[in-house]
Amino acid sequence: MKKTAFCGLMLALALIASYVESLIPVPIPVPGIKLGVANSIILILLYYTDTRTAWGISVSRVVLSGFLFGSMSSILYSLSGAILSLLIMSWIKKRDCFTMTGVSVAGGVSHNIGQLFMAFLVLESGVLWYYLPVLLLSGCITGGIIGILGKEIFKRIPQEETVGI
Amino acid sequence: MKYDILNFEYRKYIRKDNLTMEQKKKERNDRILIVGIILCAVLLAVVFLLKGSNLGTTVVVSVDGEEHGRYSLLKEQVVQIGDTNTLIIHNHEADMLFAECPDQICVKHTPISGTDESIICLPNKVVVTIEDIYGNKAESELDAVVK
Repeated sequence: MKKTAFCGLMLALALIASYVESLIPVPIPVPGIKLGVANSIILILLYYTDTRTAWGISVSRVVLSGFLFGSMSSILYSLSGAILSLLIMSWIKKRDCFTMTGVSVAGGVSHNIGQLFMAFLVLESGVLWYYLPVLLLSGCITGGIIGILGKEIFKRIPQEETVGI
Repeated sequence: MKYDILNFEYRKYIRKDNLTMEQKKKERNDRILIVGIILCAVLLAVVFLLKGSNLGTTVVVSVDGEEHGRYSLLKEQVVQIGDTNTLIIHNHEADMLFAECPDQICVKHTPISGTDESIICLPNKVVVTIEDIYGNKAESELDAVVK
């Protein structure tokens, strides 16, 4: 029961993070670039709980925020990005050779690659690969910021105080 | 005073040191990852720039030498240029749909998608060109102008 409440709380946090993010205008005219605040919730979930919980919250976050603030196509793009980034993040975390920043950077970059791949499948346009360098760089920067954020949260809130899983 | 290996304080010291060593190793790995990704991105960008592909992403419309607007080539849209011309962006190509001029040359022009292509409507002074993601435009077809 405690876990259900905790997951609901985290899902609500991730949703409000996506909403706040959709309000912030992006100064760069390249589609797909954003800070990924919602990703920080998934990142700390990966550390506080197990991979299964992170998967559940991540997928339901994408679907719900798509229905609430986006469109069907935005669900498609975010979902492919979220799935790839969570796959990479959980794999790297299991290897245990990076800190949270490294895991987050890998997640941010793979999120962008997943999104680009889905856009490539939908639009069938080779032009899109020209976005790759820009998206790699932006994923690196935003992933780094989110990683530092996650590290600070993890340092300040001990695991026992979140949920006993 | 020499340290005894079995000395508790000394062992604690080693353990603490190992922990930070591990932490340091992880942080070093982080840095290697970040630098690697940045290098990858720069390398790709350089390759794309050198390859000089003519794949465009942005449609630039100018009227009478002044920029009228920029539109994404990846988005399906209809662009109204003044009262005289209508441009449609469809299937990653820009095509002049309508022009209020007698010759209709720009309307008959095939749809454009590469940075080396352009649609020009002389009577209305409308120039439609394509830029790639780095803002590269086609070089002028003239090598030099002799006055």
